[in-house]
Amino acid sequence: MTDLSTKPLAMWLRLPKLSAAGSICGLWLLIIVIAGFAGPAILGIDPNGVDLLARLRPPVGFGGTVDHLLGTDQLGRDILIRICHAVRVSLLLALFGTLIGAAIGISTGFLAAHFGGVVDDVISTLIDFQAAMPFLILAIAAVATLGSNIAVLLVLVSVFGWERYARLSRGLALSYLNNGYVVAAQTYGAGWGTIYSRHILLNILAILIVNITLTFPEILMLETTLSFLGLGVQPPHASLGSMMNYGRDQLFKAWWISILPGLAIFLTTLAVSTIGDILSNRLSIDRR
Amino acid sequence: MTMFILSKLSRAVLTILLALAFAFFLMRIAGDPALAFLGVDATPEAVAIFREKFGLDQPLPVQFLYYMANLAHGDFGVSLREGRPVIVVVSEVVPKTLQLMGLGFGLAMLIGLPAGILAAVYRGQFIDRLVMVGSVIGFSLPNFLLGLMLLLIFTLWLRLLPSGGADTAVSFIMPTVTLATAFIGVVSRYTRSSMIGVLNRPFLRAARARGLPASTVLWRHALPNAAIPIVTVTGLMFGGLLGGASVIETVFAWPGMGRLLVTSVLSSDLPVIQFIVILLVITMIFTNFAVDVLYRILDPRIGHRGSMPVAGSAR
Repeated sequence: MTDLSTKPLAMWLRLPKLSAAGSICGLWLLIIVIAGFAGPAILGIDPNGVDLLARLRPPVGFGGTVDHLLGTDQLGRDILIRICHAVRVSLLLALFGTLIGAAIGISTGFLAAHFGGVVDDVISTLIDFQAAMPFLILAIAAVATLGSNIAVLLVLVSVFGWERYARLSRGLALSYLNNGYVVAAQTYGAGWGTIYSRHILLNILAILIVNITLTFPEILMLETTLSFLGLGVQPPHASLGSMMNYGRDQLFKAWWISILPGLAIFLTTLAVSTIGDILSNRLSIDRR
Repeated sequence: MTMFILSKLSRAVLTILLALAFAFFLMRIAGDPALAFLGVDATPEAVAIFREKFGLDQPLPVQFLYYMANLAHGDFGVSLREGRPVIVVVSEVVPKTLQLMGLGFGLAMLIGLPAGILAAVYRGQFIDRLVMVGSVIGFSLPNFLLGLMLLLIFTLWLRLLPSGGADTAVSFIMPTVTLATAFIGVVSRYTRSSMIGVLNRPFLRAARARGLPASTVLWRHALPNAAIPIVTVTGLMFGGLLGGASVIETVFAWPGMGRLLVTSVLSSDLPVIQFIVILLVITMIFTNFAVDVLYRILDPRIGHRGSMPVAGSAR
């Protein structure tokens, strides 16, 4: 029973072949994760260390020196170490946002499928409402009322995208509930909790994971956009977006302050999206 | 059809009323607008005068009734920052945003639709791969990064385009391209997958077998049948374009509604934010309504139930 229900997940976990594009994307993600979580310890430089004698130094290759590989900002702070710290903030926010959103979405989707009736109506209306609204604008309005700090940001990125998981898991649960193995599980006395978590969830996990690879880049983009507008992560913390915002008025004098964190965002969203494409092709899940 | 439109319309009005109430209470739980606007070190006298001037000294339910009554009279309050009616402040900047969104939408369609159709027709070939790679890059590229890079290239290095403002025709080029890029990716992807779904159907092979030219089959038979998912995306794009506009207007100092929203948030000008959100909710509800009606015109098979087949939101 368990063997059968975990098959879709195992199918792609056991695939050893990786395309060139897939390996490059995986390698980049590995680099960015190591940079974010081990980088600060390895480099050992203070991200807020001000050095007024070394202001606006360009990166290596553009006239810079090796002691500041990616240059410095208008206060002489090292861009590389600041990017490492910012990557950690941005990645953690996007990761928690994705996971919490998925958890909310999957459980509400199952609730709607299980109870039907009024519960289903309420949840479906909420799904339609959120899908119709431009989330960025609502997030900006929410920041206006609740203020901008990490906690508010975490709530916003968690609420983003829940409706996709909810729609998916509701629809899939409805179709799986009529399957023979659900009836079989009921007959041998399995509770609904077991049926949903052990049988239905495992069967739809592959589709949900593909959806995660679709949502993660958008959540990363949402957080960095808010921070870029000055409405997200606030000093002394820095996210990739707030670094870009900080360097914006120096763009024509020192492009690296804004552009380098931006490239880190771009390459990360690109890598996750590409891996998502590869996964959905292998599993033949229609994504868009 | 009339019954369908009436029932949809009444639901839309109900949603708008709910959204109005929601906007009011959301803004009021934010804390004291007087303190938010004047700062925590404001003198008690100044706060009292401010409260009286904007009616903030009344109990909350009374404030809400006044608010609804004022809305009915078309009075949306006064901007705390500018001291002028919100409706005037916002309507001054709306046209510039609409121009930007219209141009961005047009460009996205102009490039995205043909690219998606080409990719579907030449599925698996070089063009297809080119379009797919281009579309992933398009919607992975943060619009603020693209905007800053265009500024570097075309303003600083080539000295061809102005860095901001909306004064001349050339000022439109960079903001429009920046806004359209992500949506070119989204439109081409949806068009491709929707066309692929239709191209495999037997009725197209039958049309070819009857001797109809390939172009007729493509434009007359395939495209109309692939239109529904494409219309869904364009309906969703509207909200995404608006969100994108708030970023792009900030980057290019574009005097539009998005930039007004961001500056209003930074200066806690709640009445302006409230009005923009209300405007937005109403617009989105009517966009969805229009898309629903358009579905039924495009495909008479679609019934009343499940009339909102939204497939993931476009940024």
